[in-house]
Amino acid sequence: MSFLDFLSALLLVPALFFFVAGTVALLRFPDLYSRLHALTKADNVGLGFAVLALMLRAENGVEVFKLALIWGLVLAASSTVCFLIGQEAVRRGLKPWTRQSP
Amino acid sequence: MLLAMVWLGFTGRDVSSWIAGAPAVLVAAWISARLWPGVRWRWSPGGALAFAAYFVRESCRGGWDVARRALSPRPDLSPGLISHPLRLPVGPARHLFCGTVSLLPGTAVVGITPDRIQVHVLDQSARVQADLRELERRVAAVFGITLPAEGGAP
Repeated sequence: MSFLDFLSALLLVPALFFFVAGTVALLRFPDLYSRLHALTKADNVGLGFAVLALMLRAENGVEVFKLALIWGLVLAASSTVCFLIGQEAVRRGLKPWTRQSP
Repeated sequence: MLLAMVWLGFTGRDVSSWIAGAPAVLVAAWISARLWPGVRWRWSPGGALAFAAYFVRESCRGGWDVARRALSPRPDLSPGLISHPLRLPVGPARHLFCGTVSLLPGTAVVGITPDRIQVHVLDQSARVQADLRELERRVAAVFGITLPAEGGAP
């Protein structure tokens, strides 16, 4: 196992951690709005680490570029979808969960 | 041009992929030209680099923040909606701002009106307001914009 392979495997550990944490957050957070946070933030960082790990294993520059592109597009899509879901929830009058309410 | 590069990035040099790719690029270019007629992009490479570094750092903080709250025995949340006045001009700067707010710690955009955005926050504290202003300042630096003073008319 070369040094790069080792580094790549090492980067997959935080990637896995953030994906698991994001999923746990999705299950445990109290309402739609806070679950949106779980999806946009934890998963983006998880994907970021996974993409970095895969970049180290890429055959050539084109693959590195492709991976960077995928990450950028996923970020843009995730942010846009988060906004659209949030906006629709507000439009329907869904009240955010607050600490005071039971 | 940019879109053609995106497609090239995905498919490599496989010529046959352009049967689907060329029309897709043209249609996407046409739509974006229709949606933003004559938008001039003025940006500073230094500001963009600084923004990229800031973005990566804040993304990690955001991910860690969600992870910490999710894995703590009793999720530490006091969420709520806040309204933040927009000081960036309409156009790419505002798009970049609204697009990145949702990716930064504890904030998610749930509504945009011409002069304010509604943001859902995981933790209602002064920290969030300061973070939003900081992001606004950094976006302005990318596009070489001077922000109007706090509370002033946009």
